[in-house]
Amino acid sequence: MIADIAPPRDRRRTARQAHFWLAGLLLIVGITSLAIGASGTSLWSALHKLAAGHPLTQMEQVVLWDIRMPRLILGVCVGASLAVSGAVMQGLFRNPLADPGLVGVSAGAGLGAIMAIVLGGLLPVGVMALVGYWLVPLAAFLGGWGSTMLLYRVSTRRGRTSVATMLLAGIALGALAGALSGILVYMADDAQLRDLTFWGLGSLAGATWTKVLVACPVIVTAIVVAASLGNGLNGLAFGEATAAHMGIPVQRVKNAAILTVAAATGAAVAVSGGIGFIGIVVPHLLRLATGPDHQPLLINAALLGACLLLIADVISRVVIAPAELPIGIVTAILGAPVFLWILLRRRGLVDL
Amino acid sequence: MLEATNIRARIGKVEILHGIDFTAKAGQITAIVGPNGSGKSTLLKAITDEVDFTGVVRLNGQDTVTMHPWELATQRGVLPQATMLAFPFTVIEVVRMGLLRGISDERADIPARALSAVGLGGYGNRFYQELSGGEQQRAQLARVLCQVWHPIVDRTPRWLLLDEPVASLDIGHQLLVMQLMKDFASRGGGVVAVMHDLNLSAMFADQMAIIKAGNLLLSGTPGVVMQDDVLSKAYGCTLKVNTPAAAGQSYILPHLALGHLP
Repeated sequence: MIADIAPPRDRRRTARQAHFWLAGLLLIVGITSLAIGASGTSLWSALHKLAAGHPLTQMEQVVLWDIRMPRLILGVCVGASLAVSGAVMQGLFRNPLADPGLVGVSAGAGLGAIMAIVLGGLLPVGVMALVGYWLVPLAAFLGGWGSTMLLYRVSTRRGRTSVATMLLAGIALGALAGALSGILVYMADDAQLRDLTFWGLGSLAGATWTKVLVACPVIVTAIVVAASLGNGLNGLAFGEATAAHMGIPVQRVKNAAILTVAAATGAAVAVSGGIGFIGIVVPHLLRLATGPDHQPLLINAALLGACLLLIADVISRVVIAPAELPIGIVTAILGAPVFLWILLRRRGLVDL
Repeated sequence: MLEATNIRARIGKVEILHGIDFTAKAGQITAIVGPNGSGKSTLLKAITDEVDFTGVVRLNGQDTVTMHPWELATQRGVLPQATMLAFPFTVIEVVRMGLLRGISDERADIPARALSAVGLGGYGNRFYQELSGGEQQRAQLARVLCQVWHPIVDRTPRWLLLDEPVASLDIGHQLLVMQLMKDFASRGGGVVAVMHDLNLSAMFADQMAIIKAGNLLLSGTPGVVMQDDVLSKAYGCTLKVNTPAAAGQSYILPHLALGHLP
């Protein structure tokens, strides 16, 4: 319950101020992320050299520009997309426990990605030439879209979503996607297996400029569309019928929300594997701090999601340096307790 | 004018409404009454396009099926029987959502005024989920009021369509809300309310429509509808209507000895 929190006088201003605070935090975290790494390369000495007009060493250039920079950008995009898809999905399902990772959307996107990795070679050359690097994100998007649609159909009756059905259907969907993925893994050759394993653990380690160019435009588009859904999602919190009476084009908002979640989750999953809990933790913390109004929430979620993922990434690089912990492990360790906390605080959930 | 012609509606496989014609005039309160399960809420839901129906609904002369949700929302506010909210919004945040085009300076005080109007003046910063059922219902009414704050815009009346607006309220707030509806109607707006309480309906409504088993039994002024034989037939029990000359209002009292009609 929420009884223990005194409601602030006007949360709108707090929520808008949070845009700036979080943007500032993201800047600091971003610089930290550029500065920290397994190699001894120093961001500061590189900046000094640049300021003094000296050329950078090959090492500095490679580490800072080709390794840490794409990783930073990818981290920002993936973190933002995970948090925003979480917030959109929770708005769509009218439930704070909906999350692409928990209800099988990520698994569906994962299945799409695995199909692309393993079976991509079977596609006609013409098709391959056409989609190229986009094959994996595209397949992940289709997988995510299919599972979101299916989940919504299964768990929503007459505009009301059953939490129990949603979570259970999500488990079933996840299991099904996992099983199909397993079959594909069985068929994969050694090189593909290596790709799959590292991809599946969830990591930003393989960040390259190519991945950035493939995934980030999709993610940025999805986030921009999502940010325009604030009013619609606020209306949906009252149920579909009432939302319609408030003048919201419900079907259009729902379709846009589903496509957005699929695109953002698909692109994020395609480049970073299964990173969980960002989508559930970030919107929840923001709702506690600044209220559930989706208009500021979606923007704040993008910013805080990016911050948290970068922090998790720095942790994953530092704890067992020079080796790296997959970032999915870090977010799960940090996020799972928060999820349980939400669950325990919601009395109503006992009688789903 | 709100005109519903030959409305047939089914929920699942059961036909609930069997071709009802229903009319409500702006400047009046029209109460829809009838026993449980007669289809009075379904009639309101058909009028507001919440259930599948055949027939035509015209709002201010326009077929509602051809109107965009946005256009409809500017002309009518709809209050459901109960509203569960998914997230911890505060009361004022809920009411503000009735301001469809966002908050301009001239409209900034409307939500607070609407809250006072429903008797929730000091409740703006409370969490909606912590209010009692009756308070939640009034908070939602305040939101709907915001949506159609001015009863007439560009000489077009706006409408309040309310599903049991006073069912969960105490008698004081029942009178307050009925008075609000009366005031909205007297300023030119149209009010259609599904009602359980015949006495309140007789007291405030200009027109009453009695629904029985999916058909319109009778509609007319309270004087026409509040008759022993009409009500007894509609509700399937013997009812006596009293009209004391002093008050001029019809009312019924439950009458133990008379029991149910066969």
